[in-house]
Amino acid sequence: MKIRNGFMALAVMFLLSPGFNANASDALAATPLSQRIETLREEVLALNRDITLLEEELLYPSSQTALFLSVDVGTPIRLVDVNLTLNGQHVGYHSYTEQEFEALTQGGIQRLYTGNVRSGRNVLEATITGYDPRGKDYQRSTTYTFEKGPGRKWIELRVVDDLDAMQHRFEFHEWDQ
Amino acid sequence: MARNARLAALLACALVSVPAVATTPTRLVLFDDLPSGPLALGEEEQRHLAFGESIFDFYSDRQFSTLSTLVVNQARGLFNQETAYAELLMGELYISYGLPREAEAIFDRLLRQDMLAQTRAETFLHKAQLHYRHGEYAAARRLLESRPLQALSPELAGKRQLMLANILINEGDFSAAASQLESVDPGSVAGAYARYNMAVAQLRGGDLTRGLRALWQVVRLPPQDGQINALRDRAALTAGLTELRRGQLDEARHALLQVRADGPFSNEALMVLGLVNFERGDARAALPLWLELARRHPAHESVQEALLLAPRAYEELGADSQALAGYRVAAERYRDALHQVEQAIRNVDQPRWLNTLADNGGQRREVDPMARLTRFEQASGEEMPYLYALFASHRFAEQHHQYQQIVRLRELLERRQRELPALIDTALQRQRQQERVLGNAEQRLKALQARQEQLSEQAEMLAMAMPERLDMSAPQHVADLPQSFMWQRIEALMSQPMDRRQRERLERVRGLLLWEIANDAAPRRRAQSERVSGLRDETRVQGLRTAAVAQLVADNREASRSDLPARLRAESARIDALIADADATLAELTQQLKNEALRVLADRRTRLGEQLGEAHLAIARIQDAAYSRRGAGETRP
Repeated sequence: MKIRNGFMALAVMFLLSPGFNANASDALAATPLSQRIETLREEVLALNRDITLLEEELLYPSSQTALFLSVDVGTPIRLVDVNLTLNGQHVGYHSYTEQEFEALTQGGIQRLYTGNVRSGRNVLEATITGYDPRGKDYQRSTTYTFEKGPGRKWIELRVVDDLDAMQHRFEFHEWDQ
Repeated sequence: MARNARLAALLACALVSVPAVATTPTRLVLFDDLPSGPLALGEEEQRHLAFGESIFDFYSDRQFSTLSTLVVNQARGLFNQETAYAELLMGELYISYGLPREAEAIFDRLLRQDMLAQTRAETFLHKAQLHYRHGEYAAARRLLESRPLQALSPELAGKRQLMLANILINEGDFSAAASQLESVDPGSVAGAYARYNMAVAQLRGGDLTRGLRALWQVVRLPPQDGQINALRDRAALTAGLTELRRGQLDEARHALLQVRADGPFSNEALMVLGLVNFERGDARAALPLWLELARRHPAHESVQEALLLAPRAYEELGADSQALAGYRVAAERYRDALHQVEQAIRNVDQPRWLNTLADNGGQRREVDPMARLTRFEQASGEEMPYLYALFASHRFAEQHHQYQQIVRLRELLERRQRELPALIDTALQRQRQQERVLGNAEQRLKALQARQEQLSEQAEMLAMAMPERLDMSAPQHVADLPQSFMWQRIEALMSQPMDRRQRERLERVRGLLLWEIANDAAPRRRAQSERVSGLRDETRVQGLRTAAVAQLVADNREASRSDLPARLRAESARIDALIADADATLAELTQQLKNEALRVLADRRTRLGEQLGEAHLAIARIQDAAYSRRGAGETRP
């Protein structure tokens, strides 16, 4: 019967088709094209690596300063943005998406700034905006003085929970090479 | 959840690896009892920060950036066999990026070394996943059933069971698959899909009872996100179809009524529900369902079927004039649909057709090359309604993903190509500047170093010369300026000859002055000490600065001799070659995707042509019957 034809087509479509996963290998079967794609991927990754290293060699030979930011793992206090000035000059701003903040609370560390900083004393000022667990917004600033010598200088700004005040406080950690 | 588990494991590895490797005090960086002031930037600190950066990128969904950073740090020698946590993440990212051989090399390397049981279990799991993705189910199963995997965290253990269940389903061992799935949360997307897949496999194997039972488990899942709800609809539809095939019409109807009216399978459900009613001999109940369906977009196969089924139901009910009108409407809509399919075929044949699919609301340039684009709101064209089936195919979706990835990698290459001239210019300018200023700078630096050393010595001597205890043997050293002048004047007068009375008076004045000096001596000495200390500190900072300048001079001296501009130029040629490779690959992939799309559209065209023919035949049949009846003087109600 004619009416049965459509039904059979659908039955075949649904009864013989699993959800995802079961045929995962189909598109990944080795073909000359897929091998070429693999080679291309590999070479682009290698090129990206080599240019990054060359760029670093050119711009920051051996004495760069890098500033990192981290938060307490699982903090209930939402970091909204951070603004950085170095010796009065604005050097960085970052507004955190929900996903980026989540990444920080999962143990991620963000590189906020990399550059060549003058030697001697430098003053870093960080201003953050955040929401406390009750959703109230606030802003806090901190100033940190560090000395830059001949080698690399890495500074980690840890934004840690001050649960008494339901806000953040800052901790700085410095490393010299 | 799986990501959380992975992170916990990676962080645990990172934390545990530190005391094992680092014996210097710098290992304290991972804890909160850090002393203030700068610490030495040792290897472990660099690893901690670099891996933290990778974690930040990873959880921010910048997977290519994560992989690139890990690879760069590997080239720097920061990550190696010792850093199993970084290697594991790198292996996982290599799989996502589509470099399984690199991933396997990492996992094999990891498995040869001593490591935490949990890390070893995760490595086994990744390796099994790799085999699974390549369809090497026996190898994957061997690994998944091995002892080390018992150390997996609960979340990852669920992932293992799902993978094992899918392999067992593939092998037809449904009871073993079902026992694997027992402890997997059926409400999770992967758990629900695994149950659905098992049901489908059981139905295919002829075990209708168990297959239907498994389908109902999925249908009865509580309503959740879009993916689960769509799967519930799909399971209900499959159950309805199965019941219809075995003639259980009431059960079929009951299953089909579970499909949401606004879900992605409502067209199929309406059609099949109509069929169920029709099979029960109730064409009157089937008709409104098919009429409703016939009003929808004709690109969908169920709608195309309904265009013929609705007038067929009218025929069954003896309403020939409505049936005739229905077949005419169907013929007209089939013709329109055929025009659309022809237009779609022309669109697909356009050179830039795939670009319109990858547009993604103009956000493509921002997207990580490894991200999966799933939003195609901007993709438009006659062909889109006809290509949904194509995009639902795993094979086509994977190929399309590869196409998008290569497009984005090509964009990355172009960006690098645009940046290179600026880098080469900077390198050349620096070399020119270095040649010009370096000689003079070195001489001036030497003079500055000598001056700084001298000043530093002086500051030290000053500090050493300052007595530890305050005494008044040299009051002029703790006097202020007027007092000091006065003291010198008195001392000068005292050394001159004078009579006794004058000397006594002078001594009284001297004593008074000494008392005044002594009175203010303590705060003044404190101020002097602070000034000397400040001076020492200042000369120390100046020492740092001259050392920094010396380092800069050394860096510049090295840079002036380096062949950096030539190396950067060589990268430019490398990029050109890679762009050419990318173009050739894209051309081939484009052709494959186009062929696939054209095949689907050609099938649609054939089917529509057949349906148009059927509609015309039905029209002719009804008209013939009417003429015959008119000739015989009969009438039909």
